[in-house]
Amino acid sequence: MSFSRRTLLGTTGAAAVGLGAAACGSGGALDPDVPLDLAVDDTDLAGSISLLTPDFVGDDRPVLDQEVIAPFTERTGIDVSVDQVDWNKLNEKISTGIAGGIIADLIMTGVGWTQPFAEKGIFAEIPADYIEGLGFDESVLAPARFEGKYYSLPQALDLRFLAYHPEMFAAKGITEPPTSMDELAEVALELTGDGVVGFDYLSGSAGSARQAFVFLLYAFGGTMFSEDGLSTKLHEEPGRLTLQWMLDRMDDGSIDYDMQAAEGQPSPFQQKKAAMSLVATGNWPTWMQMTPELCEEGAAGVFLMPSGVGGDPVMFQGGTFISVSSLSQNKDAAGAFMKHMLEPEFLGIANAATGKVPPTPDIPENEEIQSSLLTRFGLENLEYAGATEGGTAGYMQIRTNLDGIVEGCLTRRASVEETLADMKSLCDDAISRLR
Amino acid sequence: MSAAVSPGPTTPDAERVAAPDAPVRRRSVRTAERRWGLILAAPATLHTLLWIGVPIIVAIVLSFTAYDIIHAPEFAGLENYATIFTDGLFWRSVLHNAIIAGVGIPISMFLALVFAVMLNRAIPGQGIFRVMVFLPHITATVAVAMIWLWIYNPSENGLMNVVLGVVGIGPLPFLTNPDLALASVILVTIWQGIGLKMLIYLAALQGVDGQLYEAADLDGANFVQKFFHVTVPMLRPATFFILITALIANFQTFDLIYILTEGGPANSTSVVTYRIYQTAFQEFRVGLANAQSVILLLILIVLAFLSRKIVGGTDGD
Repeated sequence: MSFSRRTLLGTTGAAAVGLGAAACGSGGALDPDVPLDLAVDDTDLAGSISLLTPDFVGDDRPVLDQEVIAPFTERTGIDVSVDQVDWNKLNEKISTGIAGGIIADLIMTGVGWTQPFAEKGIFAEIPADYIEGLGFDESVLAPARFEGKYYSLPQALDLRFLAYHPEMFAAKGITEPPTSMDELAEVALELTGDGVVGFDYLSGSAGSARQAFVFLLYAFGGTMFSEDGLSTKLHEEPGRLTLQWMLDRMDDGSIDYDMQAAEGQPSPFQQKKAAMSLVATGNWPTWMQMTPELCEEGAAGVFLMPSGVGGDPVMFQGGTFISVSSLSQNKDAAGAFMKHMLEPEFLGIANAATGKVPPTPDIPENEEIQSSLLTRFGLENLEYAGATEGGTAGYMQIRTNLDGIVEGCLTRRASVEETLADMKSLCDDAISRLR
Repeated sequence: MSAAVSPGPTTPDAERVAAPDAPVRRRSVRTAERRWGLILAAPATLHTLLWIGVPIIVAIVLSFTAYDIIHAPEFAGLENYATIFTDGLFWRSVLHNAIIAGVGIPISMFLALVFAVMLNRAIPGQGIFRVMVFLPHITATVAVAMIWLWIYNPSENGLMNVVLGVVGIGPLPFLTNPDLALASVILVTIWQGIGLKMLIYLAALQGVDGQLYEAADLDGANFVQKFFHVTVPMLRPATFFILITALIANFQTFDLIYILTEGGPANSTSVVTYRIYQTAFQEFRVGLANAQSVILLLILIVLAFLSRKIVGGTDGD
């Protein structure tokens, strides 16, 4: 039998196309529209499941293993293996998992992630009657919905607001935190000088430039997307006001773009290089570890982001949401573990470890949570936690590119008008490709 | 030319050629050689077809589809290619690769040549110096990136800022300021790229005929003249090889960017492979990512062709 060059090339091409088609067909059967059966008695279940989480890093991990997972395994006999990944690598981890057919049974993601993955059929629907029984506030459930159904549930909230050094305020004769964006600008400028910036807003110690932009956008009365998630509102007047406000603060020196929080080191606010700062509830364990003096009574003050349009102040709501993969081979066990993690006792234990806020105040008394100024303040002001990311099923593509667009404006590579146009173009393109 | 005009020396081979059954035997020897050649080349050919040929064909096929990993691909015609031509970030990424190559490769090649010439001489500690220069190349890029993250630490505790602080500069946000980030990345690529280039130059230097230098000495050439008129021309094939491999490696840079900057800030360090990665695994646009990969392949083919034209290829090697 002889092969000509043409035969060989033809055979190779056909094999390649065949392999490609086979590869494209991988991923298993998606079954997102069949709600989870959470009424199953978990002691009747068996096997093993996997959990993909961006939380529980470093010292927090033993708490997850020993105080959250171990009691579940002891009670049910179900093994839970944990795959930990950084937040900024989570999206790729999920997508490569899908491509390779090795997606975790339970996936923990963030605010703004539920709609895109629900739209793609990756997350299984969670029955509404179970959710009603949890008694979670509507404000924390909104990011878990897609087209009226629930595909995730909040396991932790990461609330963001502003912190200040009271002694720096006192030194300038400032007695109260600002109550409007104009006042915030004035106070920031007044506190700037002698090696201190008035407002650490972009160092990354509490989120990216994108999240900082979104937070301010809500303060100026804006939202990211329309109610149905099918059109963007980023390019409207609140977006312009937000970008201009940030640029003005950099112009007067009260926000310094080059001031960065170096990995593993105290933030500029912790080092007292910034008088005020954007902070997240999850910063508290870092403060305790690196700058415990900042955790003493009265050492730091906190306040909500004032409104720029005369309305209520605003709090940014990030968080960790848990979903069951629609591709899971052991959905009942995965559903059982999700229920276990959302029990008040384990919500308290897990959030005490991560420094985040339980999605409900109905948890057993927990000293670590009560001792955190940031968590207490967040829980007390949960009703203002209206600033959230996402709101469209196309958000994962938008999210990736929005950082670069915002940074481009803040570094004067694009004007405010160009930036708004870029944002609109990015969102329109992503939304137009939704199936 | 006939044998009658130029009989040439009589050798055992010539005698065998002259034997009456020589054509038959020669044919059978050639057939056997060809068979063995095919057998020996088969593993490499199979490897190339399976792991290079097939993925390239699959990539080309997928580049004409809309594919999001989860749903089956749908034929999209030339839509992905049309998207690329209006994707400013993709072309900015190409530009960044071009800048890294345009600045980084000549500098690292020049330094590699200097090191090679210096370390080609018998000097004390020659072996240690060679290892030191080569070490960054064999160190895992992840480790290299982690080291440079520490060197570029934006606080006054970062090594680079400590050094600059001595002369009253800084601290500078090397990787977080868009005006500095790309230059900072280029510095790392230069540092990491010198080792392999030096090794190739060293090997090529061993092959330069010493008589050429003796002839140049007789003509009264000094060190610089010998370097530019003997060494550099004789290293042209090595230079071509280094240039091509460096260009290809440059356009395949991914891990360094992934760890150091993730393409930021403000996309100022985004490179083509990182953009392809983002498109496929962050935006779930696998069809488009494959089209970008095909464009990258075409860019590399053009660059290889141009390099051959400019440097003169391996002719004369």
